[in-house]
Amino acid sequence: MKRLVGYDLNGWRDLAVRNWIQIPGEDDKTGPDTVIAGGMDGSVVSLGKNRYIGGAQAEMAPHGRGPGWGAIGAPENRSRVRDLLASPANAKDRIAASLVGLAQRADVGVLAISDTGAVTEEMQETLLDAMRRANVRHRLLVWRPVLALLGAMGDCAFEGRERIGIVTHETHGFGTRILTLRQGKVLTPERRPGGGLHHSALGLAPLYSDVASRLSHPESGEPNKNYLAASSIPIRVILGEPPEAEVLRRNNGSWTVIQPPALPPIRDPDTFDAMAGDLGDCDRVYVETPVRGPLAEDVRNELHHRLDVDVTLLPPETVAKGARVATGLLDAGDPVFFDCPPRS
Amino acid sequence: MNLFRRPWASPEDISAGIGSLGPGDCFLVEEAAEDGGHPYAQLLDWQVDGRKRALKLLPYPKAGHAKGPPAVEGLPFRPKTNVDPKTTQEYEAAAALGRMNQVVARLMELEAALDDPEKVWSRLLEAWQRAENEENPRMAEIVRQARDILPRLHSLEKGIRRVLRRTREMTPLSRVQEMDRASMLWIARQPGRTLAERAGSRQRMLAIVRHENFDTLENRVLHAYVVLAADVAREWIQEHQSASTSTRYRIVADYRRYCRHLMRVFSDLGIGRAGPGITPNYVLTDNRDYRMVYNAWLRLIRREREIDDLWAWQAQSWTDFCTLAVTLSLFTLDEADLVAQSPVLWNSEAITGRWFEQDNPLAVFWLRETGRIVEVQARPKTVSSRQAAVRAHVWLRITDIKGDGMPRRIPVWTIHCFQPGDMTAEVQQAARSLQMAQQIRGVNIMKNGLVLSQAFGSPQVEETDAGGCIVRGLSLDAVGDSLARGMRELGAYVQDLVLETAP
Repeated sequence: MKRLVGYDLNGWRDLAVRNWIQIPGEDDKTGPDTVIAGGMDGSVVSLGKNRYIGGAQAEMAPHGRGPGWGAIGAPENRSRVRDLLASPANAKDRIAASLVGLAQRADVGVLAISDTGAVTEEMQETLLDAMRRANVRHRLLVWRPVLALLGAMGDCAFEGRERIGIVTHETHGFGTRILTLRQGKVLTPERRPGGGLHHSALGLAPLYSDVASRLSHPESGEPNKNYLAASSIPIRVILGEPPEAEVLRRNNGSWTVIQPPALPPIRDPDTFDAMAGDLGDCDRVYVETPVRGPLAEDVRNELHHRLDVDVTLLPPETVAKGARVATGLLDAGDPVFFDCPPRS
Repeated sequence: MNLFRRPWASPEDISAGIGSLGPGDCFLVEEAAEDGGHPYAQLLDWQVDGRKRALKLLPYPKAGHAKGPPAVEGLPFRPKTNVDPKTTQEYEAAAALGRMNQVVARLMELEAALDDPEKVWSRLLEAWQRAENEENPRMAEIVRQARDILPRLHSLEKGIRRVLRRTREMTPLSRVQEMDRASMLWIARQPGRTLAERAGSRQRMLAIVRHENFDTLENRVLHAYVVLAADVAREWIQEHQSASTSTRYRIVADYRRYCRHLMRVFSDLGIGRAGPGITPNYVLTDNRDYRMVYNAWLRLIRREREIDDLWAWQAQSWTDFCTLAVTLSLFTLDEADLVAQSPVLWNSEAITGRWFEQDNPLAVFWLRETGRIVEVQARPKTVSSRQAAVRAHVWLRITDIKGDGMPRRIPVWTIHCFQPGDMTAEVQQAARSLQMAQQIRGVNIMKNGLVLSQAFGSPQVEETDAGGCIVRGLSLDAVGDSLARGMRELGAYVQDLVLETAP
């Protein structure tokens, strides 16, 4: 049995899709793909002696959640995955811990990377090294739009030579990329030149900051509220998860319950106009985002109003599913995608 | 160094000479944290007048007795794998090993549950609920090998490797094919002019002959494997008698029979047994069948070594089992939300009986309706003098979110010994120790306690109230009905505890 894993490690909603499941007291079973959640607002915690834990265990850990938790609550015990991905050079072990937190001992692994120019060649080398440290035997980095299309191909019928626009929801805005499909032994995405990053107030980081700032200025007059930084409410609100009250540990070790604020409506028509300009000649458009619910629907609707084609919203697991599809192609020796170099 | 036969018992000064420890005792000592010179596992530490004191656990001697200090007598010995139990002591030792293996099996299920960390407690709960049904035994290494290695053994039996060994023998002249220097010297020294004359009246001469020989390294490993596998299979079968109708039981029983058959075949072929630590040859690393057998053999040898270590530290495994049981009981409360959980770092092998490490609190639950937070702490570091006085190494900390009062602490004593004790007496003594701890300065924050001990097949529940200190004692096992009843009682206790102390 080969263990195939598709990783979508983005620091907002970390996911993996893999082809096996381990049942306590039983053997590993291969079968239908399983989605493993690595947590929202992904982080890595330090257990001392250069030992790190990532994934859902880190999300639940009290480490780095403030002085109310004692020595383990020190902020240096917790690192955000998105910060590590932004400058991975000195964070290989911690990124490896994040990958291990999603799936262990993978034979073939494909990791999604942003296609907005933010990931340099050097960063790609570092990520591959992190995958090696996570004991991924055969490894590959693939652009998010390609994986989004591979993930979507399982649910939709495609014809060769279609121009497909992919919109990716990024940390600082939205990325656009046009892909075509090339018919060979299998239908393979071909990455076309063009597209790029459109900075927007609807980017994940500005949204997060907005909600977090509302959380840190509630009505009551408690002086030091740095423990609010440990709240999961901002990430839950922006990712469209059901809003729920949360209990937090204050700096003195006591507990308090906080209520989620509402996400205010944010409009950014200029960004959508610019994206529509990029995607004007596409036959269909897909929107890939870690966000669920009304915000994601708004993005889809804004694009749909501006483009005269089908605009489909992909579920957050699509990129990880596409990465899992890519592991199968890689394992079989088939091309995962074709790259079209820009004209000089 | 002070010895405690129970966490709540009076201290006995080992240097002043004490009676030996027996199967009904806990092996707890209190001394300065930095003192050593003997193997121990630290359970708690605290400060007394600026100096660190520690509660430590001593290992069980594998032989069942030790000169000490402290002297140990009458404990079950670690059963030998290759010996069928015949005497009462051997049966008791085998039963103790079976109980230990069951506890370890429940702990190992945590490792598999961690494969999907977001659902770790629900997956562990499902696994433990499956373990309540003894008729369906869990997957074990020997079960896996019985399924995977059996076809390899069939194949090897048919095509076992052999070598042609060259020896010098008196050979009829017509059969001579090869001669070496020694045989030529021999013929040269014989009287006679022709070869026929030198061959004498029997017409034989010294020459090289080749004989088939099966005693190769790879076959010695094969032989050693089937012997060990048959012993491990026997041990597994003894521990799973109640599953005799299951498929896994049948597979292992068949496998044991086949291994015993192969033992006879290999003995007849003159194959010896390899010892552990051999350097594998080309066949063992490159022939698929031999390689699989060799790897399976290494896994069984490693398992035996692990059991040696676990036997000495099984009180540690019991504490971890109890910690998980308490956490699962809180997890199953309808109103409980898991707020935080310390990462569980799984070790590749048990270190002083511990498979995993974790910081404290292990788990934190928010009881939404009751409005309180419950923390589970196992072997907390640097406890208060009041906590040190009751010497429990698992604690629940209950905080009212809206109240201004101090958090309450519930000591959980995890008692491991080789004989069932008198639960009524245990809870009374535990309650008295709790009562004594109340007299230490400060606010009364400890008025409930829980004793968890092994049930030896007969789960019990006892409760006592001594001066407002209420201690409940529960006994449970790690498998079958005894686990099911124990977990039900534990769930009921946790529910009572939450309601009882509700504001």
